[in-house]
Amino acid sequence: MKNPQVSQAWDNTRDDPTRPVELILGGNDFTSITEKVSDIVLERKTPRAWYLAFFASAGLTGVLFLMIGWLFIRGVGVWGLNNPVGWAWDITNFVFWVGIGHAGTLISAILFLLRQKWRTSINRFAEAMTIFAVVCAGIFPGIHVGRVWVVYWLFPLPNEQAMWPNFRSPLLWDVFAVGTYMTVSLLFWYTGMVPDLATLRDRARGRVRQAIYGFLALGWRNSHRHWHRYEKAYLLLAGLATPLVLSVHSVVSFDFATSQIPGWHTAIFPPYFVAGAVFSGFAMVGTILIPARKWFGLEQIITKHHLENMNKIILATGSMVGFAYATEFFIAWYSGNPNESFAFINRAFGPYAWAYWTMVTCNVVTPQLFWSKKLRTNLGVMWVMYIFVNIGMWFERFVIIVTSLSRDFLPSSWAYFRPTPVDVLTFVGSFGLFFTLVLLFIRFLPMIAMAEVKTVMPIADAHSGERRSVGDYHGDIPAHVRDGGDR
Amino acid sequence: MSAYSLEPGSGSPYWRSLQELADTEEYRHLMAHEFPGGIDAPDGMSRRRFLQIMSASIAMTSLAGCRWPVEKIVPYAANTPGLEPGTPVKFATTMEMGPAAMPVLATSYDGRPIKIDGNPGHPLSGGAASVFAQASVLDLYDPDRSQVVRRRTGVFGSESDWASFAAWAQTRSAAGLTGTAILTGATTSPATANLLIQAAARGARLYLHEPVCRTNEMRGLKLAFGTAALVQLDLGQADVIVDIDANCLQDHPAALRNAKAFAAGRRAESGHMNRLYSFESTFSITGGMADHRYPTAARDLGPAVWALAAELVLGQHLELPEGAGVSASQLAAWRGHAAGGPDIAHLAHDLMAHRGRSLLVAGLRQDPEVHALVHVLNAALGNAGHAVSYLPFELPPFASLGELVGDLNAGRVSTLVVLGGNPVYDAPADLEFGKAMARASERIHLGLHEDATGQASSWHLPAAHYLESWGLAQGWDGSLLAVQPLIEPLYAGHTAAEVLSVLVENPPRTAHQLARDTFFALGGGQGPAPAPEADDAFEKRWRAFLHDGFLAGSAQAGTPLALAGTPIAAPAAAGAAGAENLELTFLQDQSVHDGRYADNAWLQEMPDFMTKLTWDNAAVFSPSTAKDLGVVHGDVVELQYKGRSLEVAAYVLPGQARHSVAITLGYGRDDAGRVGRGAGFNAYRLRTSDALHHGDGLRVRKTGRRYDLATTQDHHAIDKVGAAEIQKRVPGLVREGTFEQYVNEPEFVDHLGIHSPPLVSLWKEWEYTGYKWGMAVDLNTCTGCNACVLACQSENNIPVVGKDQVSRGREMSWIRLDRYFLGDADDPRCSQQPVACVQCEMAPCEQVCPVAATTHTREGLNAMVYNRCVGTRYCSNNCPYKVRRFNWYNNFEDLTETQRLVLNPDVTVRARGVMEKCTYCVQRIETARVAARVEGRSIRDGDITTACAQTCPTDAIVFGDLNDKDSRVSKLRELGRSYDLLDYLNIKPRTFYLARLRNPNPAIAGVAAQGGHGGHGDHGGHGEDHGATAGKAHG
Repeated sequence: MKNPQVSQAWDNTRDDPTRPVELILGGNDFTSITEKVSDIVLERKTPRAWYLAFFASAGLTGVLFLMIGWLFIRGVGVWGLNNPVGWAWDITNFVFWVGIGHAGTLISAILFLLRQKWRTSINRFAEAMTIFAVVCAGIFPGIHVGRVWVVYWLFPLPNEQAMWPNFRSPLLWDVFAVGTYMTVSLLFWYTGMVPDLATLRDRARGRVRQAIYGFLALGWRNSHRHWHRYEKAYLLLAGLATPLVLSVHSVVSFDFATSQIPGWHTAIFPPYFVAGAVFSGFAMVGTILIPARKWFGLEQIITKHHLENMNKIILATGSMVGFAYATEFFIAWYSGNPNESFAFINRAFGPYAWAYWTMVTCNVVTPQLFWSKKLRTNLGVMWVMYIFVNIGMWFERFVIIVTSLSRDFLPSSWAYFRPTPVDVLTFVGSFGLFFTLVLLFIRFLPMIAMAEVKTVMPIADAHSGERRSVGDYHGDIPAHVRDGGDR
Repeated sequence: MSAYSLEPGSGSPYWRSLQELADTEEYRHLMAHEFPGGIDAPDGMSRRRFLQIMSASIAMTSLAGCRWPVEKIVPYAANTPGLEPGTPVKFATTMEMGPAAMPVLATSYDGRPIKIDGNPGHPLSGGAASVFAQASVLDLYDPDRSQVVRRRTGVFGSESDWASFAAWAQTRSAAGLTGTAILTGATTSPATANLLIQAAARGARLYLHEPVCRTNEMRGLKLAFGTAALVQLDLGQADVIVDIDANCLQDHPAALRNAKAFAAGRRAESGHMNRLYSFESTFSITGGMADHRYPTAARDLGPAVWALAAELVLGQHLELPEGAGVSASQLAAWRGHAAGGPDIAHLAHDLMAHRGRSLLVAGLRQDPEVHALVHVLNAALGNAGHAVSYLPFELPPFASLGELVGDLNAGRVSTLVVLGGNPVYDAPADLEFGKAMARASERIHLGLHEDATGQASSWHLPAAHYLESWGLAQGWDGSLLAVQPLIEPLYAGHTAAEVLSVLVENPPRTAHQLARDTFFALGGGQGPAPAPEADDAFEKRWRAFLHDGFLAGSAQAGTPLALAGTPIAAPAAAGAAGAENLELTFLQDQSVHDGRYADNAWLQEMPDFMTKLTWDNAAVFSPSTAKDLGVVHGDVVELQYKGRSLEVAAYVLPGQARHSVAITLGYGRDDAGRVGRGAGFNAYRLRTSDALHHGDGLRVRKTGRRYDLATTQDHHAIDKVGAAEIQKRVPGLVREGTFEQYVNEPEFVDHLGIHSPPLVSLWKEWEYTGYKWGMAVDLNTCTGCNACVLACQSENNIPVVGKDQVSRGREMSWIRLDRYFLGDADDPRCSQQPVACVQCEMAPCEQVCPVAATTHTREGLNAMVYNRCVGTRYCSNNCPYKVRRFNWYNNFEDLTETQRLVLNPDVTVRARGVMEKCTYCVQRIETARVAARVEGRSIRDGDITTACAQTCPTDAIVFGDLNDKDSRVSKLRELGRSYDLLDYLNIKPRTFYLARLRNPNPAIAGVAAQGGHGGHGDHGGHGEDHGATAGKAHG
């Protein structure tokens, strides 16, 4: 190891303003980073745990598609929806998954533009998760409609009746917002992955893998011209993606904010939803990252410092969400609108009080524990906290959607929503799909942005004398190739 | 072919007449040949077979001579003159329901009846129809109707046919009818009555059984006047009405007429309003309309009337008339009796002040003595001959069901003929009718269903539905009504008169002959009616009779009767009421009546007026009694009563009398078809012949189990937060005031509800220059009778979804009745509000639909484009009135081909996954538009009525053009008490409401203070313009 003073046991969460924080520990150099990350995909035997996890997830995905099939055969009545409550778990799940999809782009785009170097260890993972979450999210608006066979009418497609969709409908805005977000996120993720795919191509053994990674690497040759264009493109995409981080969930919140149901009709929704989305997104990244870094031995790359930074963001956004809850209550009272006041009193003390207080506990109360440095750097505590936040944020959407609908203007129409087993299994199944995709990603793609991580290592510093001795900056030559033979 | 003749050039859509032709044997043969097996198989029909039957039913009017006589059959290649395919034709006919004969108009579409409305020409209907009449068209197509004659000898049954039965019956009755017992329900048919009398003359004994009977009323009349009579109420002549458990706006044979007259007396704009007092144990619609309602246990109702009489005679010095049957000294003991309640002196004073302009009416559950005393008081107050009058008649020589059971058990009956009804199910439990019936060696049952009685019979005969029948009936006002068929019997059914004719006449006559002959005889003719060609004058009268549905001028005017002077016994003292000695009352059900409509899915799914319960009955407890007993809504409790017990679900209903438990009859029918089987609890198992209506000694035991009651409102018990909010919110939704308040400040409604900033528009809105459809709903006359709900269901092909779906909150009704209770849970005020799509001009649903499936028409209808709808349900979420209904499943999947015949072809049948809602009956608007265009004029006020408005007995719903300043709806819009529901949302609904007014007795404290400025409690902005006023200006 080239840098013995930075050992694996080194605590890089210390507050010492005199020295820069080491983002990569364990005396790694470019080669070891490359090996650590690409060997997971190329060299290491797939752990049995992966197979177990994969089959469990794939099984749940099967449940998801069975439930969707049943839904298509019978109709939306298989869910527990009723007359006032026209949306419940379907749209709750949609907003929940879209929210989770926010961390990725935030980390990759906004933190990139803000030159937050620590993002490099987790951005690939977070971006991948974004895409999978948006895939899960996209299912729900697609299947929740009554006549699923004509759902394409939501798109402005040319047709014989010359019918346009209704551009005044926020649901249509959703189609565009989520569609754009998905496209840009996918592009961004893929663009950032091109140099790493080239690394995999170069290190892969076996023609098939070489061909596939080679195809995906788009002929990357590590030339200066490539790097120049790549950096430009990445910066542009980051610039494009940044407003999207704010816009997607703002638009999703318009579904509610522009309607006139008390509890939905609120101007605070766009910032409140975005804060909540970042909050839940970071929690979901953390939920998966903590086990993944352990199982794949990535503690030196995804260090406690990274996790602590995430926890700080969770603390900040969680407090914003809590502030939004308080503001809602204040405005409900201050506005003098009796329907609005009742909507909020009903949330807190009505038949859904259990859901409301679950939400408040998980989203506002427990994240405050992260003020304590001891707690926010404790892996066990933070993982439990992430689970809490995931639960809390699901309930937030449930509370907003269901409590508002269940008791609106005319008390004669009030009703209580109860989910059916199909509701529950569809939701659980969507986790199956999400984890299936995550597991496939871990197995077949570089889960850490090798090229980017290398830029934030001390040896990448131009002033470091060691830089040349280690060799290549990006896409370094595998040892067995460099040394002229198999290792 | 000239088999049909419509009155030339009259433009009247009513069916008028057919040419007469004798029943021919070859025609029947031909029918049997053409349609082997008849048209009895409702299910699993092939398309080809269905088309055959459809064309057959079109041709039916000309086929099978015994119904619609014909000359000859021709292929339907050429159009029949006078019969346009696709143009509905209306026939006047009559539906009999026990003693109530209801004149109706039946709409026939290409030969199949699809809708029942009231007969506007007859005062017993005035165009309105009860829920039972409207739903009856569904019974016609019930696939579970009995379809074949069944002969049971021993254990096994076999299919037989009418001819075999007729031959058997003729042989058997040839020697006379001694040993034959004929059990019939109440019927008003003169033809049936004649045949019954003939049967009696030949040795048969006659018995009458009606589970919901008016026997007490008749006994009371006999006691008071020495004769039975039809009591004619004229609520229009009464300024003060005291309803003693009578529910005279609904449970009366002339209920529609009563409701209409009552509403006329409520129209405050005339400067005058009547006042209604109600004493009852369970909330009825009459109680809901009352200005003062006193929840009183049934056993206290008698004492309450005596206390009232005592107060009138001793307190107000009302003079008792000659032959009163009671004396002032007898009444003295009752003065101030607790049962009369705290306001009895004020009530007595009010009655005295309105002598000659008041009315007391007692219900069928009251003892004869109560009825007699009420008649005495009406006479003493000078009301007889004004608000109440009498049509005396002789009670026919019928024995009771109890006597029949005695005769059966004594072996005096060898042949029992049951003409309609289901006594095995609905006879009092102590009679054990099923066992007794088995002692008759031959048991003939005529019924629409092969029910419990049908299964216990040796001959079961399918009955003809009234829409398949010829006959005559007598209205409550004595008028002669016509029953004429619209369709050939689907299952070869026959009428009661035909069965009797087989028994007593040789050769028997058909229903058509019987009706004609009887009509001829009633007109003074002798012998059989002449052939159509033979007597032109008679034929004209007959045709006019069929066209009108009644014989003009046949209604009789009631008169006062002289009191007989028979002493009237005072009510016996009852034991102390309490948790160990509760009272049980048996009520007729507003959905299934006495159980006869248990197979009618429309009625089963129609929410009860008060409980909002569908598909079930329940034991109704008052909140305080439930608390005493520890019973909560949905508990299964065991009712222990007179040595019998029944497990039943509990329902806690505000306004129920304390220590009184109510249960409705007609549910829990194991013998019903697929619709009614298993719905509810059989209260007949507790009912005994000594206490048909109510009795003491009930004990309630909790079982610890729960039962899912499917209600359309308050799906779940309301928590404290919600209940408090409802009390706060309702005064702004269902706006109310007093008559006095309205007179002093006509615009008082504008101070109710939520105050908002000025309601202005941000842009120039669309101007409605042509028609501008709107609707007024007068909460002051709406009784909540459900007639509009059924009318809409029938008109607009609204699916029935079943108990499970209703309990999930997925009922489909386009118009619903919102019912709220305000105030003390044991003595609340009740408010009713019909809500359908209000057709907002700024419709929130339209903005949010992503595919523009709901859009606005240039006349202001909020139109739903079913085939564009993808079903996101966003529109429903954003609808503040929650009037949109979503098709969660394919709701028409399970309908048999026969059931599909009832669908209105003018209205789309909605597919799975689309949203639907009230359209203002757009099909009727378009029909009127076509008619107006053909005549080259614009649509006039009154050309269009929506189905709900058409059938409303109190004319509470008015539809029309708001741009026409002279239209009725525009005039109502101008009234001070018109307001928009949720006006502060600025969505400009086209349906507006007219505030309810109460007319409390100023001397009675409490009620007068209620209502009024309830909405003023928590509004802050005094400097603001009143949003409500701004909203109105848009109308």
